[in-house]
Amino acid sequence: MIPAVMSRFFPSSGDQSGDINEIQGELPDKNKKVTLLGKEHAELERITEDFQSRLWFTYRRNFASIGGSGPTSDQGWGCMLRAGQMIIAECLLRQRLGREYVWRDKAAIEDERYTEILELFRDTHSAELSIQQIALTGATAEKRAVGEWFGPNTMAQVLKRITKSRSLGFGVAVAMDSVVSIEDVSAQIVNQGNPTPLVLIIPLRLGLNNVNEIYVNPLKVFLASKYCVGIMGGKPNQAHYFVGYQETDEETWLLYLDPHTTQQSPVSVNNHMPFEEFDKSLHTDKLCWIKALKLDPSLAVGFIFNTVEEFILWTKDVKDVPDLPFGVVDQVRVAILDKISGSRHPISIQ
Amino acid sequence: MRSEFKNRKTFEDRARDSAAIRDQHPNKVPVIVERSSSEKSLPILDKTKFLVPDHVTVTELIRVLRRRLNLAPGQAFFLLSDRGLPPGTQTLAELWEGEHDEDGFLYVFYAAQEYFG
Repeated sequence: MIPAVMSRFFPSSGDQSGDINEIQGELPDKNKKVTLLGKEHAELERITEDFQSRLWFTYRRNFASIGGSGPTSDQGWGCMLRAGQMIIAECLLRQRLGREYVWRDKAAIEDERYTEILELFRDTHSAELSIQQIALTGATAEKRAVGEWFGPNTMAQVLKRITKSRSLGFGVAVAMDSVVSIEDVSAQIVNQGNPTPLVLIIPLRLGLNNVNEIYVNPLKVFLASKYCVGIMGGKPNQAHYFVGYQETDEETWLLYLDPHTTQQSPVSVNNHMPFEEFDKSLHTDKLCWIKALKLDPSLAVGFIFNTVEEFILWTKDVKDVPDLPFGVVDQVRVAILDKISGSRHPISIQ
Repeated sequence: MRSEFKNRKTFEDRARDSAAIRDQHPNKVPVIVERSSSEKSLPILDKTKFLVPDHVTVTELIRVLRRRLNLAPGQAFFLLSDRGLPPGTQTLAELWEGEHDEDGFLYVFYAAQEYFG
């Protein structure tokens, strides 16, 4: 039959070699354990339950026009913004309900701590973490016009700005140039004598065109950390939010939530979605997997620390990871700069 | 990663060039810094050949390049060798030792991040 022949020549999720690079709705290997944001699971039921407890943000249509005259849907451009919502939602869940929290259909929305988190993400200008707020902040602060695509770093910078007042109960710091400064991050947690938890986002580029093989292990180490709140990344052009991995005999597979589904906005003019329905639309049990080596090398990994002590413990753990794609330093030295770029000792000779 | 510098000059020219530099400046390493061919958002450097004091770290070199390119502090900038992202604490001498080309130059490329829609 034609479809069978077609699928052999045009494998839907493989490459030219015919290899399968993505798996959806099942486990790459049902006999291997799965690591999901610092927790290990062996049974499919536990994996699905934990996966489904994450907040899943997708494209939406028919929301209030961004900025009054902008788009009313983010289909086709908003996927990295949705991945950003997912990572910050994970921080909120972690802080307010704990890592052991399990989402239960219907029962969930009776918990105010939970419904308050959801309200922050409704697609309206008044919601602090709405698509409108993120797109408009990106336009003013990061020079990405409303409707333009974001990179993981763009998203990290926007989250840093949106959480600046710390009204969410934590701040966001972004480690630039693939260096984490212990002095800088600690100072931000101490927060001038008013300590608050801190989300540390580290934008990375794990290769020029592909993820270099040496970075697969560090990615696993990140996702296995109890401080990890996930990874904003994707495959070329398509953002995903990564939460876990499975190691099969041949491959490392990464588990992600995919924003590329367009749902009705919960606050559209003609169709005000009941809260229960809104909540249901924010969870998925469809496990999505991609081979780690098929990732786009541009990504940003997030960790949350309640105290300086937690942060220091984390730095000690990651320092020994072989091929760590960022440096951890006591402080960033800058004194030498003038010397090497000054006119007496030019570093450039051509 | 293909280097423009390599395309422009023969191996013999490059080898002679790097040997002369090493001879005249024993405490510096010759580095070729180029924009990744797929990079669109970052500007192009006005120079590609750099003589970097051997004790300068990767992080420090990044700061110098950021300044030359006039980048905002929050703008993404990554310096990559063929192997990957060199650790920020590594000195250029160490990086040169581990990854220099047969022609005597160390090749590094810079790129921001990709965008996703």
